[in-house]
Order: sequence, then structure tokens, then C-alpha cells
Amino acid sequence: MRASLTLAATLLTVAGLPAGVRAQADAFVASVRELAAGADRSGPAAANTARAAAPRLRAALVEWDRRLGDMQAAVDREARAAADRARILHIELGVAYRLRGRLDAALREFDAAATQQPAGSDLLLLRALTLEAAGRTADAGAAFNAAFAAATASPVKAYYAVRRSTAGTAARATALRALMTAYERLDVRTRSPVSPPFLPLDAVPDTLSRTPVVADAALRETFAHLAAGRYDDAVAALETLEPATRGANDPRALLVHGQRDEAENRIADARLAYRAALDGTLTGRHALLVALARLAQVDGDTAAAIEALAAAARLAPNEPAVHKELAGAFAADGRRDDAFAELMAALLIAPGDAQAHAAIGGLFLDDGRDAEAVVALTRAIDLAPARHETRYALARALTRLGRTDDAARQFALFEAARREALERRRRDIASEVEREETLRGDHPAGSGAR
Amino acid sequence: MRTAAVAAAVTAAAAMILNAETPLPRFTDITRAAGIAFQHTNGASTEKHLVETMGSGGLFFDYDGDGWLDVFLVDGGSPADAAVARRARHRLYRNRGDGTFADATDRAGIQHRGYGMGACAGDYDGDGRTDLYITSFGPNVLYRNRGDGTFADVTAAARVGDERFGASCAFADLDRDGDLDLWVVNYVNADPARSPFCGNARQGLRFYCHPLKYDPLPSTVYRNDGGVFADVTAASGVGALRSNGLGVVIADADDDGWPDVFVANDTMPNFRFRTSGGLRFEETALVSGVALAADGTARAGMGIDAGDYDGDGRLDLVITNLDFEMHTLHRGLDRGLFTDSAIDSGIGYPTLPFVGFGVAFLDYDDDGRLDIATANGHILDNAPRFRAGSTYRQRKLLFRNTTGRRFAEVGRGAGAAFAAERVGRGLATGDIDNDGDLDLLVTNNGDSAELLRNDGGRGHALLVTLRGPAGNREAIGARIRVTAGARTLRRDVKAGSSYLSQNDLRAHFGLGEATHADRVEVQWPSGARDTILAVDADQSITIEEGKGLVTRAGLTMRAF
Repeated sequence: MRASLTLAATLLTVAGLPAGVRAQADAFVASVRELAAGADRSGPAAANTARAAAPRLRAALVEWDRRLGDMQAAVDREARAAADRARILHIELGVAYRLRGRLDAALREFDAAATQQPAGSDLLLLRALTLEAAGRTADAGAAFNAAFAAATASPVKAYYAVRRSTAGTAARATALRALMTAYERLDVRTRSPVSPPFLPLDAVPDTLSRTPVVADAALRETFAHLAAGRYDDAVAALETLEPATRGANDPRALLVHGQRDEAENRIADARLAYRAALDGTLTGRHALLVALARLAQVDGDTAAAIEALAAAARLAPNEPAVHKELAGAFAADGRRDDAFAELMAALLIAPGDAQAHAAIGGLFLDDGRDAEAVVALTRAIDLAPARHETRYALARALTRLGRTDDAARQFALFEAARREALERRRRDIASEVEREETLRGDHPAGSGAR
Repeated sequence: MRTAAVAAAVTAAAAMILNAETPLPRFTDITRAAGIAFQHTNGASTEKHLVETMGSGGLFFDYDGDGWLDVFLVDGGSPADAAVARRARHRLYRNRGDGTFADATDRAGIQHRGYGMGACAGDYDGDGRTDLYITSFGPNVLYRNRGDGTFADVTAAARVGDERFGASCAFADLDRDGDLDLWVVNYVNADPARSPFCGNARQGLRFYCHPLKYDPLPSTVYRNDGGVFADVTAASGVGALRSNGLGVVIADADDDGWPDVFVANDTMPNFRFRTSGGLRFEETALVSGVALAADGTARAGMGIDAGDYDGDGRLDLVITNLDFEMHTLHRGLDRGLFTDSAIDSGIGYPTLPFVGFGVAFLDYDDDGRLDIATANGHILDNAPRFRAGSTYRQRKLLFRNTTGRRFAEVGRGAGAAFAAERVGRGLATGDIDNDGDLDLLVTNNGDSAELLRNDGGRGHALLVTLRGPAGNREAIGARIRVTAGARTLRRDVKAGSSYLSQNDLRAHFGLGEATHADRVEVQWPSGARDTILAVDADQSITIEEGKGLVTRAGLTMRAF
């Protein structure tokens, strides 16, 4: 948990900027929220409403840029300040540029901060995340590894090193060991950290909504620019907005098609529709990506499932459910180390997540690491004693370890609960049938379909 | 003309590329061309008797001993309409060896009683001829093979006419006394005279009832005492365990020399019966790890098969289940334990939309790795009204084993007939044309059966017929290990598996590029072993206990 505290410190640094780096974006984000709230309407009236949002967004951008300019001037003025102070100013300005979507400027400031004194792991991580956002994957990978190398006891940086670094197998193994050590030392009673362990650096975070906010054909281009952080392009597109007819280019219609295809088991069609709808989705894209991943899994396309879920995890880094889902996809692909890292990410967010502990137990069990499985599964049961499936897994792990008496006790508890549930279901079905037969005026005793 | 010539050249080049890129075998529907005109009678009625949706099975067996696999198809009936019930007829089709089959039912003297469910075949009386047992919703029937193309109904004399709701069955030498005993799985206690109303009375919607609406039944265990069977269900300890049994497969999973009986149970935990002699069984599925899926839930077990898909010498199990459950793949570990590998093998998620029934491990592409085929079809004939997106008719699934541990679903590319949507139930594998690749027999509820010929096995192959001593002439329960190069393949001789069905009793080994097997080792049910060295591929060989290799014949080259 130490690493998450250091990251939280970075976050505080960001939040504590004189002019308020986050606050610079507030007016813009508020206008985006309004735009998103009206996104479920279509037609000429909706286009008018959306177009009316353009001046507000333009004004917010102008104000945001004015404040950024002030910050830049302040940094230039204080360039000769004490190294510590100059370093903080460069980092704050870098984060501010990052939020604004000016990635090159952000990287310039992070590099300037690094010249003031040896770069700390937090700064290296900020740089890695920004390089990643700029699409410089190889550079980002090296930076993630450098961030971990500067703080090898940090599980958060170890997570990034396992999942995103381009380091060799030895460095990856070191990061995995750090994660394993963190798991062994994890106190499951620890409350979730106040500040989320993973730093979101988008002004308009994807988690602004839990469900996808999808544009119609008219707003598609605006939403696509906003989602990519191209805010000037987004406002320009909004200013020249024309009402559009529904058609193949209408993301919202595509989403509806996809939902219908999914409901009717047309998996390939649903995947195509969702994928196309993603282009016009402002926020909640992670939810759409999870849906895409599930469909890909049913299609037997594990690689696509992993790709979609990894993208979802980047968009919603502090959503434990996404990390757990990605872990499941990795496990299905036999990539148990990556699965473990994702489950650790979930636990860094919520240390008492019984499901994540149980899943780690399952990974160990699949790997033949039966003793470690017992530890993880026992943690899961302590956290959620009513999860009978975990008890079943624990009993199997104990059996494999030859601890037959302990296994028998767990099997007995599991069986008692399972039998009770079975009898309850049998009674429910019988009473449903009796009720329907009575309604039908049939025999004494009819729902109960399977 | 010039344009046409260029087009032809382009087409030819494209075909070569396609051949190179898509070399996997495809299945061709030869049912009609082969003369198989079976139409299953399911008696579907507004009363929704449960049996109407269960379908019936089929099997491959060489009843006339001519070396060509014959086909037996079980017909259902009708609890609601006596006239429909009277039209139901089981069918026996004799393989002429030229690509066609002759309807031999009348000559064989096989009658229809009750509502036919499953069948299994084995030489229970040790006369060298394969006999036939048919399970029913109603009285089960044992037909003794007279050896002249006819069968005698010996049910009463053999005392095997159980009248409960029978499902799958299997012959095996359970007590290792040298003759074949019989295991019959029973489903539920349903009243043929009246079906409960399951559905929504106000909306006038009626569905087939959930199996938990009915009381479960135990399996029936018959000990063979010189051609007459004794019902030892109670004494064996099996009678105390009631469940909604549907599938059964018998094989020695823990290599202790004794057969293990695996029963797939619908919505209840599966069974694994272990014995160490004396026809006393201990039910150990929960501890073994095969009772439930990895998530601790009992699934709707329908069909089941055992095979060594990962080539580690241990048996693995595949079980078909309901939609939204996933089929389960239990990978064998040491000490007779199993782990649910459905998800990490790649068969889990792709099976989510399917209601699976018939299932078989088979090396359909002759590459030495066991693949998996499943027949699928919903339980509810009005499935879309119950759950949007569900369909009554569903396509078959073919999971190609790509690495020994992982499968890729290739059913859509396995031929139009394979990809067609039907209400699949039974499924059996066997080499009907003796060409070294495995063909399929699929039964469909209330519909025609399908005989699907495998076209395009790419590798070399070996077919092994075993001859055991009198009592168990087919050597059911034997284990064969074939070593070719660095790989050792295991196949077990099983008389009954899948769903209501049975495969070719011959063991099929795809050898891939290997042109010979370095070693063929047979472990007989008696415990004795025979080893044959350096056996050329692309042969059908017969090995007799204590005598070794007794016959060999080249495989046909696409006989038909």
C-alpha cells in the first residue's frame, strides 16, 4: 500500500496547484457533461441544442488556455527557483498540459522536471502514462520499467511493469515477485485507499458515466474528438454541426443494433455493431469494451477479448470489475502471470475484494500451487463466508495437498449449503407448478420450465 | 475464350492456395445417398411430456461381423398419441461396404416398445457376436445377436427389462470376472399418463418442465451371471444415490485396473463411481473434482465422454450442459483427480449459447490429438418465447485441438451439413468407410438422423480391433497405447458414451505425419499386456489377447 500512498501524494500535488490544475478543466468538463446529458436525443432540435453548447465549450477552452498560459509564465519566471520548487512547477505544468491533451508539451515539462534532480518514480510514471497516451508504446514501456526500477517495493509500479513495460523476462520476473510479495503482505482488512491507486490523466474521464454515452450521426465526430482528447477539434466540429439522418454512420443506432444482435445470439454481427458504435462513444467506452470482450470470448476470439479488456482497463484504471474481467480473459488464455497482475490491481483498489482473492486462489490451483491457493482461498472465505463456490475450491486445494480431513470439513460445509439450495429450488419449482395448475383450473396442482 | 482461360487459371491458382490454407477435413452429409431414411418420432404434443424433448440416440456397431460398421437408430414414440406411438420404429442399417446401407430392421426382427431412448452394444454372452441393448421410457430391451442377421428378444430371460425412464447405457466388465456387466442410467420418475403444467397459465404458455419437478432415479447395475443378469443396484451401493442421470462412460481413470463409472446428471452433481472389487461402489465425484464445474455449481449434464486430449496418459472428461452454463472439460491430474479446464482450454465461452447433448472425443483430422464434437439443440421447442435469442435448432460444434491443451471451434468451416442448425441429441463416431478417418452419426429430435462422412483426413492413421477371450470378446475396458516418434497416444475401448449413443468399438489413432507406429501396447481388462513393435500406418489391425497381431488390412482409399 506504500506505493499507492506515493501516487496519492502525486495526485495531491496535482490537486494542490495554485490555480488548481484540475479546476482549470472544470468549466469545460461541466459543458461536456451537459452535452452528454442531451446526447440521447436526435433530430434537428437536438442538433440545435448541441450547437448551442458550442459557445460555452469554446469559452471554457479559451479560459483553460489562458490559465495554462499563466502557469507557463509562472514556471518561466521561476525557472531559477530552488531545484525542488522548480521541479514541482514543471510537474504541475506537465500534468496541466497532459489534461489539456497537449502531450508533447507535457513531456517537455516532465523532462525539464527530471533535469532538476534524479527523476522520482512518480515522475517517471507520469511520463510513462503520457508517452502511452501519445502512442509511443515502446518508449512508454521503457518508462514504466524505469518507474518500477526506481521503486521496486511499489505494487502499483510493479503492476505497470508487468503489464505495460517492454523490459525483458528478468525485469518482469522481478516485478511479479514484487506483486507476489505485496499479495503475501496484503492486509485484507485494509479499507480501500481514499485516493484511487491508479492515476487518471484525462480531463474528460471515461468513467464520467458507467454506461456508454453514444452520439447520433450528427454528434459522432464531436464525441470522437472529445474521447481522444482533441478538444479544439471537438468544439470546431460542434460549431459546424448539421443535423444528420440515421444510417450506417449513426453510432447510437449501431449500439441499438448491437444490443438486438447480442440478445438474439448473432455474436459476430453484435461485435461489428459495437465496434463501430465505439467510434462515437464519449464516455462509458469501457463498458462497451467489456461487452465487446464478452462477445469475443463467446466467438472463441480470446485475443480480441484481451485487447478490448486491456483498453477498458486503461480507460477505467480504478474499476476493480474491469481488472477482474481482464484477469479472467488472461487466465482463459493461459497467461496466469498477467491474470495475477490484474487481480492485484483489483486488490490495490479494494483489498477486501473476496472475488479477487478467490480468483487468485483459482489461478494458483490451476498452476498446481496448491499451498498458495489455500492461503488465497482462505482469505476469500474469511471475507465472504457465504460464497460456497470458494469453499468448494478450497476443499479441492486441500485435497490436492493431501489434507484430507480439512478437505472433508470444507466439502461437508459446501455440500450442506448446496443440498439446501437444491431442495429450495425443488420446492420453488413445485410451488410454481402448483400455482399455475391452480390458475389453469387444471389438476390439483403448473411455471417450472427450465 | 481467352478471358475464360485466364479466369480458369486464376481459379485453379486460388484453389491451390485455398487447399494450402484450409486443409482441415469437412463433413459431407451422405445420409440420403447412403439410403438411411430414418425419421425420429418424438411425439411432440401440447401436453409437453418431458420425454418428447429428450430425443433418442444411435450407435455404430458391426453386428454382422463383416468389418463394415453398421448403424442402429433408436426411435422415440408418443406418450400422448397412441397412433403416433405405433408409427415409431427403431432402424438397423447394414453397411454394404459400397457407400450404401440396407435397411435390415425387419429381417433382424427388432421391434419397438415404449418410447426408445438410448442404446449400447456388446457381446454379453461371449459368442463373438455383438448384442444390442435398448433403453426406453418404458421397458428396456436386450436383443441377442444370433449371428445370422437376426436378433432374439431375450429381455425377460436375461432379466434386464427395467420399465423406468432409462437413458444412456454401457457394457463393461465391472467386476473383472471376464464377462460384460451392464450399467443403465435412469433419468426421472415421470408419469407417462399425465404431464404437469409448467409455464404461464394466463398467457397460455407451456414449456417442458424443469427436471427438478420430478423425483430423481438411481442407475441400475446389472451383474452378468452367465448370460443372465442380476440386478445388484442396491447391493452395489448405487441404489442409494438418486439423480437425474443422462450420460454414462466407463473407463479406468485412475489406472488402478478397475473401471470407473462416470454419470452425467442433469442439474445435479455428476457421479463418479469407484470400485476396488466385489461390485461395491463408492461415489467420489466431489472429491475427484468431476461433480461440479469450477464455480461449484451443478450443471445440466447431458452427454459425456472420456479421452486423453492432452496426451499426458491420463483420461480427461468432457460433459455437455445447458446454454449459459458452458460445457465442462475436466482435465485429469494425478491420483485420479480432475480440474475443470473448460475456460483455459477454449471450449468454455464458445459453448455458452448452446444446449449440448451428444459429445465425443475424436481425432477428426488425424493429427494425433483428440478433438471434440458436440450435437446441440435446445430443450424447449418454443425457446424464443422463453428467452430472447435462444433457438430450438442449433448448430453442431467442432473443437479442434490445436496445441494439446487448447481448442479452436471450427464447426462453421466443417461443411454445410455440420454447420446446419438441427435439434441435435445423440452423436457417435466411427469409420464407416474404413479409410482411416472418423465419420459421425448424429440424431435429431423429431427429425431425420445424419450420417456425416469425414472427407479429408490429412494424416496417417491406424485402426485397432481387439479380440479378448470369450466373455468379453470385444475387449471392452482395454487400453491401447500407440507410440509414434515422441508421442504416445491412449485410447480406451468403451461400449457406451456420449448421449444415448455408442461409438465404433475399434480404436482409432491419427498418426499425423508418422508412417508407422513404433509400438502398440494393449493392456487387456484381465491385466495382461501385449506389445507389437513397428506397425505400419494406414492399416486396420486386429490384436488378440495373448496372440498379438492376428490380422492386418490396408485402409481403403475413399471407398465411397
